Formats: sequence, structure tokens, C-alpha cells
Amino acid sequence: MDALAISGLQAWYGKSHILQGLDLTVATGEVVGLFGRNGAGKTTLLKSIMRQVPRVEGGITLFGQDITALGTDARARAGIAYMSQENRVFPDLSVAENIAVAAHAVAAPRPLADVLGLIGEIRDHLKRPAGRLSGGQQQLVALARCMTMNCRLLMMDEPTEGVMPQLVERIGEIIRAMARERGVSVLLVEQNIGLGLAACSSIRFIEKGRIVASGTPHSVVSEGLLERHLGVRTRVRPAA
Amino acid sequence: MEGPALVAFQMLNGLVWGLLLALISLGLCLIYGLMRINNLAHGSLFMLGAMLTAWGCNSLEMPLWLATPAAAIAVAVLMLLLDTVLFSRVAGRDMTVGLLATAGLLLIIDNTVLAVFGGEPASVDPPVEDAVALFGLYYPAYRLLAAGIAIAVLLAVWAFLRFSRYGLWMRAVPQARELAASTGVPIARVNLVTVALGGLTAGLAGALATPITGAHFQMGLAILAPSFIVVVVGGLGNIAGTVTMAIVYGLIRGGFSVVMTPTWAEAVTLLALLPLLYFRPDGLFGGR
Repeated sequence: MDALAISGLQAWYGKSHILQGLDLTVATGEVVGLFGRNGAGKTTLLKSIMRQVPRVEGGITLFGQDITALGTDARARAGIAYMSQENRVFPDLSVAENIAVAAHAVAAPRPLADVLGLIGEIRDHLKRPAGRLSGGQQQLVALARCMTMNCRLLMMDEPTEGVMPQLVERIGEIIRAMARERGVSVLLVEQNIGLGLAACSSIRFIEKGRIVASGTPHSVVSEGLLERHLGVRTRVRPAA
Repeated sequence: MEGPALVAFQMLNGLVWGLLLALISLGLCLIYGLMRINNLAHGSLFMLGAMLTAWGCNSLEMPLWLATPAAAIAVAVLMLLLDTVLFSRVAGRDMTVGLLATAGLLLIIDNTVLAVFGGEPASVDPPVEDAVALFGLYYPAYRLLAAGIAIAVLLAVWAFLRFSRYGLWMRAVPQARELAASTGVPIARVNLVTVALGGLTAGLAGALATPITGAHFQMGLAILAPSFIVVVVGGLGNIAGTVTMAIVYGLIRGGFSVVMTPTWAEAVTLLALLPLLYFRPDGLFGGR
């Protein structure tokens, strides 16, 4: 069964018609990378799935359940976790409280020990205000919060933006582990082409609010899709 | 009364007043922090708590210990209804919409109270008439009791915000509303709890004040300016700052009351605090 199935999705900001009949599926346990130039509609797509765009039309199902009538919070409780670019953490709450916000919100949260087992780096910071951590540490807290929600679909909008190179690789590892070991489906918007190719099992290209091409990490390199759709010449070797 | 005894008396009065003001301003601060609504009708909730207490004691012959919580709960229930028909509809919209909507609500509440209870001031005898020897003077025991109840309720609200699930959410939502929603926090229910809590504390302050000041349908207007000034000077949305500032406000007002009438003391205290906003526009303790 598809974790996420989107059909004919359209979204507007005022008079700007951003998504123009977009179709997309994400299979269970699949890690899908969404590549596109600035303004193509990547962030709008994620926000539309979370119902954070003023006007959206089209169908969205999560594991076969139609979620178009649900509000943002109900979609989250249905199993979607969203790491946006703008707000990573609740800055004045401690790291433990950031995680507790999620633990209290869902019916069956993942135990803290399990979360810390995968993201051990935050263990020593549990009592610190999350706003005082580095950008990379805040991303790990955001990942821990999403993991605590026991999400079935994880959507991430440029999780490595402003993050130290060492942590970029670590975030990639965690994404792969969540998909492989916990069966979480992932929809990843990422400007870091290397991480996208290494972490994803499938790549989709978005232009003018529509999916225009797709392939495996290997095929998008070998067939020149990166150069055609992003203007990027890459020597990055995708993970086998 | 004169000299140190007068100073002690007025400062104690100021402290009691500051604690009641803290109860009122707390709800104003919570509602602003969570819903970005400047609730101009908040003083009317205080007035409603007082009028219902006076009505319960004088017309229904309820004892004050029963009329006080009953009035506070009645105001909280009213706020639950108002959340559905008003607050949830203006939350997140332009701030002017909230100001206009709550200004209308103020007029509706005040005029309804005038129509139902009349314009004559009502009074209620304090349940304890004794005075307590304190700092070389005899201070009315009921005022100390009211201050004690206010402190207990403020501590209970602090514990609720610090340790309960809804308290955690009420602290999280003002920091990042969209993040809270996408984490699964039921925003509408959090708003509901916040509005009800604001009504409960304002109504309770009115009920506790009734044996001290009496009750009158326009007393909500008088409390509005001090409530807003402590919320703003305390730091918009900053709960600890607001409560601290309310108590400081009461003490300053008590100090001025030594050398001038209470009405002048109120006006001078407001004027004394306004320049602070020029130097610290986000309030003394920073906004949220």
C-alpha cells in the first residue's frame, strides 16, 4: 500500500498558482527525494500536505485514508511528521519538553529510550533550552520529536540547511535508519544533492508545480536528469 | 492613622491589590500569548465575577465561600461559550479584528449586567470581620485571606503550566504555532482551555474583590488600563513578567496612596510606568 498518494493537487498563495495538478506517491518504507529549483513548489507541496497553505484542492490519502478534511494537528496525529525550514524547535522549552510536546499529542508515542537509542547525541542536552543549541543539534531535536510521534510518514524540508558537514552525514544515517529499521516512509526536500542521492531510494523532479521526471538515484545521474532539471553536473556517486 | 503605620497599611493594600491584578492580568497575558488577541473585554470578566458574587450573596443568600468559586466558574463557562462564537474566530487574524470584536463584547457584557442587575453599586460583608495585628497596625483579616487565596491560585496555575500536558502545550503554542499544530497539538482545545482559565482567574479576582471594593457594572473599565499596562510592561505574553509587574504595580500604587488619594495614586502609577516602554519597548522582562 502507498504511504502517501496525492492526485491532482493544486495550491495557491493569493493569486499565485503554485501547485498545478501534482501527482505523487510514496510507498511504505520508501525514501523519496524531491528535487527542484527555487520556487518550483517543493515547500508548498509539503505545506499543502500539512494543510498550512490557504487554498488547496486535490486528493491526499495516507495509507489509504482520505485526509483532505483533516486539520493540521489531526494530520499529524494520523501519522505525518513534518520538519519545516522555519521552525525547528520550541526555543524556550527544554529538549526534553520539546520531545514531550509530541509524546503527549499522539496516542502511542515511541518511548524516549528508543528515540535516544537512535539519536544519542541529544542525551546530554535534555535539560537545556532547545533554542540555545546549534542548528545541527536543533535538527536532531526535531528528528527526535518526529520519531517520538511514531510517525508513518516523515516529511523534511532541507534538514541540512545551515548544519555542520559532520552532522549532515549523521542526519542522512538517521533518515536511512528510520526507513530501514522502523518502516517510516520519507519525503525529503534537499538542496544537498549528495545527501539526497545517498539517502533516497527514489528521486522526483518538480517544475512549475508538477512532477516532471523521476528515477532511482543511479538513473537520475546516469540519464542526466540532474543536469536537465537542476542545471547541476554531479560526480556524486549515489549509494548502491 | 499616620506615619509608618499608614505606610505599612497602604503597602499591604497595594500588595493585596497587586495580587488580584496578577490574577486578572494572567488571563489577559495567556490569551494574548496564545491567540494574539488583545481582549478589551477582560475587565468585564472581572466585573462579572464581582456582580455574580454580590448577586449570589445578596439575592440567593449564598455564603461567600460558595458564591466566590461559583462566580469564577460561571465566568469560565461563559468564556467557553465565547471561545466558540468569538475568540476562535478572530484568533490569528489581524489584531484590529480582535480589538473591535472584544470592544463589542465589552459593551455587550457591561450593558447586559446593567440591564439585569441595575446600576447601583452592590456590597457584600466580608466573611471575617476581624483585624490582624501586623507591623504595628490592625489589618483587615479578609484582605489577607484574599491575598492568600490569590497566591495559592497563582501557584496552582504555575504548577498547571509547568507540569500538566495542557500547560506544556500552552507554553509551546505561542513560541511556534504551526510547529505545534504539525506536532499534533490540538490547537483548538488548547485555546479553549486558555480562554476558560483566563475567565476563571479574572472572575475569581472579581469575586475576591467584592467584599473589599463592592461591585458595580463599570468596575471592569477601571481595571482595564492597569491590566494592560502590567501585561505590556511585564513583556507581552510573558507570564512570569506579567505576574511580577502586577505585584510591583500594586506596591507602587500603595506607596503613592500614602501621599495622595487612591484615584490619583492609580493615575500617577500608570504615568510612572509609561516611560519604561520608551526605554524597553518589549517590556522589562522581554516579550514572547
